Amino acid sequence: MTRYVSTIRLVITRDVLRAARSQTEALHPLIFFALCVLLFPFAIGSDEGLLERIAPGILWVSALLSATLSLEQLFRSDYQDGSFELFVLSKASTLAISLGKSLTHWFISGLPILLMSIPLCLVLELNWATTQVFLASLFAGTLTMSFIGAAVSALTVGLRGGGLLLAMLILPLYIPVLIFGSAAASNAAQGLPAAAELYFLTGLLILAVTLAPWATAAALKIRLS
Amino acid sequence: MKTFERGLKACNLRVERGDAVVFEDLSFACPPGTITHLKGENGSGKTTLLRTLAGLVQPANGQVFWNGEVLSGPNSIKTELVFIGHQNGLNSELNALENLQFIAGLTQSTKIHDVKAALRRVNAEKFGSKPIRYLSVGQRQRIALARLLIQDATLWMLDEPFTAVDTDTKRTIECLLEEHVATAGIVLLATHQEFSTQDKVEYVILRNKQ
Repeated sequence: MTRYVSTIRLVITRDVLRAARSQTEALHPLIFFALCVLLFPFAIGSDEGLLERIAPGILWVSALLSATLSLEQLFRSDYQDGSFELFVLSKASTLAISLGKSLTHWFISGLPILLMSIPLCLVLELNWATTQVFLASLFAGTLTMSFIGAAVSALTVGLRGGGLLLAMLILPLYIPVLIFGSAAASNAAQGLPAAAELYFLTGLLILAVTLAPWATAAALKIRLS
Repeated sequence: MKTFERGLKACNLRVERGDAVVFEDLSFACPPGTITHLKGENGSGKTTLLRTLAGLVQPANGQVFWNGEVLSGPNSIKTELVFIGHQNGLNSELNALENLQFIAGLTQSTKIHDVKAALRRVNAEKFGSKPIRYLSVGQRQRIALARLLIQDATLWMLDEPFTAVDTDTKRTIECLLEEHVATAGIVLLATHQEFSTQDKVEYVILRNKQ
């Protein structure tokens, strides 16, 4: 058990350091997220109340696209520099490495999106109660997306047109997260309880955390044979 | 376990890539304390053979035995193996020290504190703190070879270890091989170059199918 934990910590430390060095990996999707959200007020205009009503949806779709954008890079350097062989042929469990890589994606992509959402909620004039529910749903949602995304990313890395293929495979899988995530926030915006949606999101998160790393580990092996 | 069963053994291996047969009816044994040199022209399947022996590629026919047991995937062999392929497993944003510490941690090596000593041994301490992407191919190769010193493994599989390295480094590698074999280690290496060690080298010659 401690070995699992130390492997996970090792992978996260290494990858966060790598991302911090190259900077673009974490920064570009974040800027994309902010720009994507900020384009909507320009397109919609100054219709009273409309923006406030659709704001949770805007934030959710932008977060989802941004998370997909950064997925392609998650395994790319590992595939190119031979770390894949190292992952599969080292004493450490491939499952723990997969878990570590998924969490890495959340640290590089999900966490910055979560933090960036706070000022964006203010820009879109969401009230504080809605913002709280939105952030809770986004927390569970981005984590779920990182776990599912890592598996698909490992499977498509290095393929010709892999980026587009990744988006085509992953976006349908994100639909449940999107439905419950934006429903939670829009319920809260209308003053309705959002507990049910948040429970569903938590359920999806538990499902993803327990199942997706197995798929990621299998994908790593498949890509090597 | 009987002593003659120790080591790596290939029996009637046949490997296919797509529709093409890469090699077939290949049998050989690598007992402890031997160096096996895989020779063959470009495209004759040296890398594929190494990957098959590591359990990454499933043979279409035949079996690989590790310490007398059939190998059905990388899991049963990975605890005792260092595999250095064409790509050396070093992340280009990190420096040699960070890379090797990660690798030592991942392989749960007991030699994790010896990373600096390993770099000194392969004459790479001077550029140990530069990110890998600033280094030349030969320098990267030297750092990759430091993996041999920090991972405690019986079986070494090296794909073209002499590529782009200077004569001094080549000599260092030859010394490393000799030391490893002297402690009952097993070495498999694929290379076009001749190398000199005092130990007996077995050859496996692969030929192109076309």
